Amino acid sequence: MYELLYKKITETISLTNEEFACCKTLFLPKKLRKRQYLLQEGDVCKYTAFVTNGVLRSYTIDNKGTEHILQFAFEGWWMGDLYSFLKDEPSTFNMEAIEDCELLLITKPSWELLLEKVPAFERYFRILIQNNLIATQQRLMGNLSETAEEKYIKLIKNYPGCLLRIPQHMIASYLGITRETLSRIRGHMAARK
Amino acid sequence: MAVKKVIAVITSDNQVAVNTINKLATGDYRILLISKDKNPFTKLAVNVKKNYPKAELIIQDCAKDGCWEADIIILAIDTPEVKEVAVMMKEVAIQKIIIIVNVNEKNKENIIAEMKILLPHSKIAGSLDSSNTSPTVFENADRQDLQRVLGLLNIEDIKYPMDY
Repeated sequence: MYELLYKKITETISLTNEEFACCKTLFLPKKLRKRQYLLQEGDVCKYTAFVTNGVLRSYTIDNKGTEHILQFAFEGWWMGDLYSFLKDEPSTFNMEAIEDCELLLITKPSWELLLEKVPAFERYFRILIQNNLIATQQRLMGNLSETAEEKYIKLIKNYPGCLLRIPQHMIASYLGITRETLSRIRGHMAARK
Repeated sequence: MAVKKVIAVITSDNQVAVNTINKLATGDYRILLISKDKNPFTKLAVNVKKNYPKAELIIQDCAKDGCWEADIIILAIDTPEVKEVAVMMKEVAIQKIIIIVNVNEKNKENIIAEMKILLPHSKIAGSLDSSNTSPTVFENADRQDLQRVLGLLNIEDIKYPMDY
């Protein structure tokens, strides 16, 4: 259950056995069934989640009832609404399991305790948040400047496995295009091969 | 809209199961009834569905899977079973609320004390807890969840850290 967490953390920082043992006592193991929610809009984001198995998605719903997917989280990824988590404010996001999931959840008080007991985690989470900021900026720039096809090509290059696990309509929503546009792009790319 | 919490109820006592499930069914929970023998509870599942159409009740036999999925665990077992159940759930019950609603009042204190030792990283709540183990610390959100469940179960004598 904790192997992947240990692997991902120690890619960034070194931990003693005692430090990781302490870390393990602060994470709440949770199974989610497919389509079950981890967070719903209007609730405070109580947990930040580390995915050990399965896929999560976060999304918002606009006034017209259209879903906009912000992020997918595969094995070894983190997901949460940082603003809601840190500020105790209601979230504007929904988080849902696309597949049956196994997660390790941490609350804000446990997270703060972890930072206090194992200061190396300050560095780990700083780098995690840095990387998240970079990815968010790149996604924003991509949305402003890239064509639908360029965004799709970048997605399959960066996350080749996602096409097998995520339904097409969710990929279209993530890219900010319609299902029909995505289908057309795939058709063009297949014809060029 | 709030996320539906999952409550696992572990018991081998038919009457305790019926009482507990009927009370919880009025709340908006997904309820997992965990028992080695699922057969006695088939009728209960039918009745719950009939009386509380919105209730979600799943009967399963694996304590580990049920506790892994649960947000809150309700234990209604007697002393000889405590160790066995604690070993099964230990890895997946970390940081989770465990409410002891014992079948046998006489053994309740012993069970709470034993569970606190066996599951040191879970949040054990039980009435009549005069054990010498350190009190469980509940975060605010946990306290709200706990109070709601205790309200449904009509349990009023659970001690909180501030009471110690």
